[in-house]
Amino acid sequence: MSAENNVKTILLVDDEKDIAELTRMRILSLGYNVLLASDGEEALVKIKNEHPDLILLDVKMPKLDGYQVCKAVKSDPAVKDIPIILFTASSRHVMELGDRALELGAASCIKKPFDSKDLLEQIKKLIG
Amino acid sequence: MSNVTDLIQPYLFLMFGIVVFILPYYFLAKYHLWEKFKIKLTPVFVILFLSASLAPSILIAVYGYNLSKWVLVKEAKGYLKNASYTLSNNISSFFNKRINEIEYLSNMYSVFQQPTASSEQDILNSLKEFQQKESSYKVLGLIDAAGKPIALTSSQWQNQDFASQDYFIEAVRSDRIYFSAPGIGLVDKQPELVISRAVRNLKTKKLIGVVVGIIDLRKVGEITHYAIMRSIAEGRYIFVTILDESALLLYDNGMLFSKYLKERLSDNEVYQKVKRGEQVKREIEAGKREAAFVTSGQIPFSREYGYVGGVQVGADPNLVFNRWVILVSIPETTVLEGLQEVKTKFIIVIIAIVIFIPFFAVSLARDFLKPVYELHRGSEIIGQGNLEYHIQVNTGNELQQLAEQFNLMADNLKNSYTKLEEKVRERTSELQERNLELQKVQDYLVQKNEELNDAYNRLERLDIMKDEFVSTVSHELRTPLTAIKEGVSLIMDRVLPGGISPEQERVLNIAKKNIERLETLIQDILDLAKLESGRMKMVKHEQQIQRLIESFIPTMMPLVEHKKLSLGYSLEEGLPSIYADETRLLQVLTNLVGNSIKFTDGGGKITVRIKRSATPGMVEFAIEDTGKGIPSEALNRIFEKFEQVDREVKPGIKGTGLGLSICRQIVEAHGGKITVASGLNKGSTFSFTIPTFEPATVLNDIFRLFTDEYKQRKEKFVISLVLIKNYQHILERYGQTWVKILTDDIAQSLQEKIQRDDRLVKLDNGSVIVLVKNTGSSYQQFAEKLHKLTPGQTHFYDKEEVNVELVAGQAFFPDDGENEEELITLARNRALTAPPTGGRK
Repeated sequence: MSAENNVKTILLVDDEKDIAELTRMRILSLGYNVLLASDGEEALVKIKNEHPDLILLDVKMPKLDGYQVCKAVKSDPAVKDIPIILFTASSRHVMELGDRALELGAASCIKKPFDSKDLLEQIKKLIG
Repeated sequence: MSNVTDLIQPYLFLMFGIVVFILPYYFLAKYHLWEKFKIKLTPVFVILFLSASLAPSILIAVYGYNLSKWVLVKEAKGYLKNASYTLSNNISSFFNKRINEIEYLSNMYSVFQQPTASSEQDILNSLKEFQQKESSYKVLGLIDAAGKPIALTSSQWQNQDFASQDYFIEAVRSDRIYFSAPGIGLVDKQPELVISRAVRNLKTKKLIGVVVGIIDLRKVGEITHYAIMRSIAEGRYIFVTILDESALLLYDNGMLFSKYLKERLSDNEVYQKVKRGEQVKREIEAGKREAAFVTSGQIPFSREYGYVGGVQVGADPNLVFNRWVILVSIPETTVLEGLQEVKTKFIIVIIAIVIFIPFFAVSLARDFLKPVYELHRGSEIIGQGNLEYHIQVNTGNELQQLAEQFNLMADNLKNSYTKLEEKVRERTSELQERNLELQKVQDYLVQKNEELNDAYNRLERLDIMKDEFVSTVSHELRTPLTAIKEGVSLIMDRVLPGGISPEQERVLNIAKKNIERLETLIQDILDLAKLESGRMKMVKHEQQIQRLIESFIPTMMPLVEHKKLSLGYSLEEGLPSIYADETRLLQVLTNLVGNSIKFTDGGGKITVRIKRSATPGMVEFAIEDTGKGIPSEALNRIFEKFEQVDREVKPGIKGTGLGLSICRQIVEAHGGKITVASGLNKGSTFSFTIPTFEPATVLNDIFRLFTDEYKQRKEKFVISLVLIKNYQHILERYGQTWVKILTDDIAQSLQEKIQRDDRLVKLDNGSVIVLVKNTGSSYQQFAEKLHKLTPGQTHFYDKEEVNVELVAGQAFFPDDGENEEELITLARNRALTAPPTGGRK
């Protein structure tokens, strides 16, 4: 649990390491701490250990996909209050994402690559 | 005559009997009476039938027997009559001779004065001479006046007291021939009759004596019997009986009557009749004759003793009317002797008939019917297909002709069959050849079909692989592209420390622009691939054009303003809603307007005009620009993939060449058409049509399948349309996805209320159609349940309470019409105009 004036930590889960690195740089520029996880299992471990303030979750991943991770988080009372933003590169997925995200308890969904303005808006809306 | 009757009658009878006996069989056979009367040859029937056919024969036999008897009796009576006449004549002649003899003797002796001893000898001699001549005299004699015999041919009578005898006294007194009454002689105790005559001297008339002839009645009987036998009896037994006046039996050659007569004869009718002898009495009294012998009566004397005829012998009534009777008789036993024979013959014949006739009749019937049966059997055999069979009928009449015709017919049929079989064989082999050819063709086709299937499957696999490939490639292309884009963005956004020079920024801008182009290209390829494979589903809903266009125009404004163009739109009044996928429709509009922006120079004008299409049920969107226009030769290729208008016309303007192709795919997926009208430097107008929203539009195939089911079963049904009255509000506020969930919920709650045979169809506008079988109670039950469901339900949208107003309207098939669209419209109108019942909070 982070303190009131502490810098918020965002967990970015993406199997594309280049994109994850670039995205981390963008988020860092927005003034947040960034943790990286390259697959769903790693993400779940880090969520439990680090307890981030927000999770940015790629839908399409090896091992556990974004939906499964989202489900796992939302069913764990210790971490279920952490807001989740799902993202995907597929436009087809984006369409379905709205419905699924709501069902799974995710806060919102966005399309990758991120527009800096959009992303910041979303993050600010959720964690200030 | 008797023999002839005996001989002929049985045979006459036999013939008659045969005819009578055969007739029933003949008629049975000829007219098929057993079929007509459904006769079955049960034992009872056979016995009855034999009895019935035998009865006439027996009747005839009995009649024949009686006839024979009657004939025999009549014949016997004839004999008897003849015998009576013979007897009469014979007796008459006999006694006339005797009378003449006695007269002669009396005359002869009348010459004597007084008989002397010598003359006595002469008298005796003469008497003996007469007795010798006639054996029936017991004795002849001359008695003197004192009653003493002068001469007697038999010494037995020497001591007879003649003087006291009536024949002596009456002869002397009457001086004429005298017949004594017959009686039993005193001397020899044998029946006798005496004829006497007084003898007087011719001159002196002095009584010399009396001639007496005592006649033996047995001899009389014998003689007459013999005479009858000789003349007519023909070997028959004829009996002669002599009775005296008091019916005392004097003579009977057969001794048949002796016992009987003593007791009863005096009362016998014949005897009485004979004895009365009225006619004789009258004739004698009239002086016509002295004595007469008259036949009388041939009536049966008795059944036991047969038939009797009689002769009355009479004499002078003035003297003594002594009457005696001679009867002739034929015993019945002898008369009916022949009858017994006839009877035996008849019985034999009847037995013969009984045994023989059925066989005869049956064999006759069989012979008569045999050819018919043979014809029948033969025609059946031939009819069953055995054309080798030949009917054998040799009756030599029409039946034989018929049989020969039959055989001829069978032969002809056989020939025809043979020919037919040959033809069939020919055709069969032809067909077999054809079949073989066809089989080859079929095998070939099957093989080709398999090849085609393989090819198709390969192609299908390829198609799927292509789609997957496109999908994967797009993703794989996009991921590095995202990294590049993000990298460029990071630098351009100056996220990283350290500045960038204006030249660097210009390069980065070019890079960014091309990255975006590549992104669009990838997206377009992906879209087109999905559209062409039909895997892109159009999520169609009712769309308000006003709302759509008002939300669309602002999105284009930045580009328009950037190029200093003007963009406007016009809407025809009272346009209906359209039925379209909002996202895709916007994509088309964006694409077309984007194109217009691209190809129109600054100061140009772009107008979106929306109006009713010339095609009914369509709304037309027309995007007009004042741009460079398209050369006419390019117009027909413009919607093809990767087709771009000559670059020289539009220098510096680059596109993917997929946009219009995608537009066409989307419009066509909506059932619309896209066209272009343009000329070089005359601007371009792209038009496309989108269907209006009508209940008919939303009816899917499943719904029609259901209604067809009812129609095929010729059942009445009710279309019950349940719709959300505040649909538009809910749609705007909570979005399409939630409306879909809501519709599912409503459908679910309705599903629980219908029966197995009823159908439920969800519409995209939140309405649910329920098809209920209209069989009175089933619809009533549903209507009651439905009434509880409407007017409203409360649903939750993320903890927010949403009041859903439900109304329902019904249309009845076929009472309200038979067209589904019309019925749904009717139900919809009824639902919307239904009195408000108030929602439930």
